[in-house]
Amino acid sequence: MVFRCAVHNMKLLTHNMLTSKCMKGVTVGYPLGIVAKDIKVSETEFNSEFVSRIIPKLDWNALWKAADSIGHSGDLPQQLMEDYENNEEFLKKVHHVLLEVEIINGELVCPESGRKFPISQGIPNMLLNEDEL
Amino acid sequence: MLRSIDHLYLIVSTGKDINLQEKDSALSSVEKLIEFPNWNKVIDIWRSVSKFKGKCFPSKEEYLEASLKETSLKQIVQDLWKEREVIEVTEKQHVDKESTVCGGHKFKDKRNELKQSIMRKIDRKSMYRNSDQRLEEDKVLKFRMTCYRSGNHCVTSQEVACSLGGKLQEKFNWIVDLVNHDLEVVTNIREDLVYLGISLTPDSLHRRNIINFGPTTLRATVCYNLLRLASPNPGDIILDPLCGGGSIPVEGAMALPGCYNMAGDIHPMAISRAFENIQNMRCERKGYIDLSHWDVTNLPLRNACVDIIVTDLPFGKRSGSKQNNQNLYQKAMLEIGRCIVPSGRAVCLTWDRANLTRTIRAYGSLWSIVRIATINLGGLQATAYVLKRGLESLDTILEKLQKRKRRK
Repeated sequence: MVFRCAVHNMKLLTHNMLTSKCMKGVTVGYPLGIVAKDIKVSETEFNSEFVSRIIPKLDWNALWKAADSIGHSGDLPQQLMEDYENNEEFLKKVHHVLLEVEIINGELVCPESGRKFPISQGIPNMLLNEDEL
Repeated sequence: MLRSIDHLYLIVSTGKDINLQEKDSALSSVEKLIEFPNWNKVIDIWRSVSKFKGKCFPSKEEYLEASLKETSLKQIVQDLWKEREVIEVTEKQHVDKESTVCGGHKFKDKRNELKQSIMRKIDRKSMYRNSDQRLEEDKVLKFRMTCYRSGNHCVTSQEVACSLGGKLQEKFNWIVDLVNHDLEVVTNIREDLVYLGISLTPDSLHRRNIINFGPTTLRATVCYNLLRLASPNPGDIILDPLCGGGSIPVEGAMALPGCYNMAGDIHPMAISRAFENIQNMRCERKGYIDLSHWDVTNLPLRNACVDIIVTDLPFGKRSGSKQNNQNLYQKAMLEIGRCIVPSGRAVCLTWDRANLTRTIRAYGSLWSIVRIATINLGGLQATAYVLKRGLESLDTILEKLQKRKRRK
């Protein structure tokens, strides 16, 4: 039997990696602001190994700010605690924010230039115009 | 491991050092392979895998009755098909008009062609099945003998297939059907080694993930092997910045536990294909996937944020051209060098070896070649380079390169 899964959209883990530094004149371009028109909260299987290994690769501050700006930070702590690997409750909160809050439509905003990158059907369009290169 | 293979065969018998240089003796020696005593056991195994319920060892009378039935079924399907073709022709004229109005894309046509030919095969098979009102148990086994041959021999694969197929048919009273067969028997001749096997996989497994094929879609089995070359671990972020239809990241999400696959491409048609393929993934996937629209020569990603890169670089022949490739490879390898962590692994598949090796050399200590693997992709000899990103920061590496240039 083939089960069609819930539709895939942009996750906050991806947002944590994206920057507008590729634009001309932008020095840092991170983190990008989020304007979310349509958000979807789904349920995915919790994988504690994945979450605990991905945390050191994140910019924690940017993650919290992003989740908070779209109203989905829940009770995720603003500071990353020590010894999180064994704190399953904490890992589950991180899992939720990273993978279960998806942006279907909206915009990513460059913090320096204000340039908006549209997100539609869960896909952010980061292509630049000729004059922005 | 089983995700890396296309077909699975149950070997029935093998012959070594068979003389295939003289026609008469060649055919009769290969035919001896059929005189294998345990056909019952082999067919039993095949039955349990294929769930075939009909007669595997029919009598001559049962065979004759079933043959007549097959002929009449074929005629029914033929008539039904003719009716349908008339409808198709009028539809196609309508579609052709539409695509010229919309500035029809070359890629779109090829994609539709392939999709249509697959749909036609499925339709014909379902027409046949629907017209066959017999009970499963009353049907007689239909088989096909296929021969694959590599090396210098005095016989062709068709001659072997015909001769062995004929012998099998005489021996077991099976019905020959090259298209709608239940069982495929395969003879594989490599130089002096010959083996006879039964196929346990009705369709090649390489098409499992993708429903929307593009001009250069990679087999899922090749994708799996490319990903394996990068030695991924749970928690790794895997990037494919030139994903096309998304074959590699889709296979990554299906097969690699706990990895985050980031896919992206510049071409809007690639994005829509990848989108469709991702939405059609089955639920039992092991990892995650996300898709973005970007330009590989100017990636909107932070420095050193991905662990692994696995990508299929544009081949000179099917997409892009050799001229574009030089520029593209230079910029792409620099950008992915920036985005990957120090010591991260990149697996790049390419046909344009010269361009890639030149680019790698030009960037000094940015990339080192760990391994090279050649792959035969539909006749094209492609190469997969497993690269390791150097330890130094990008700025340091570029500075060193500048100094080298100035000295010259």
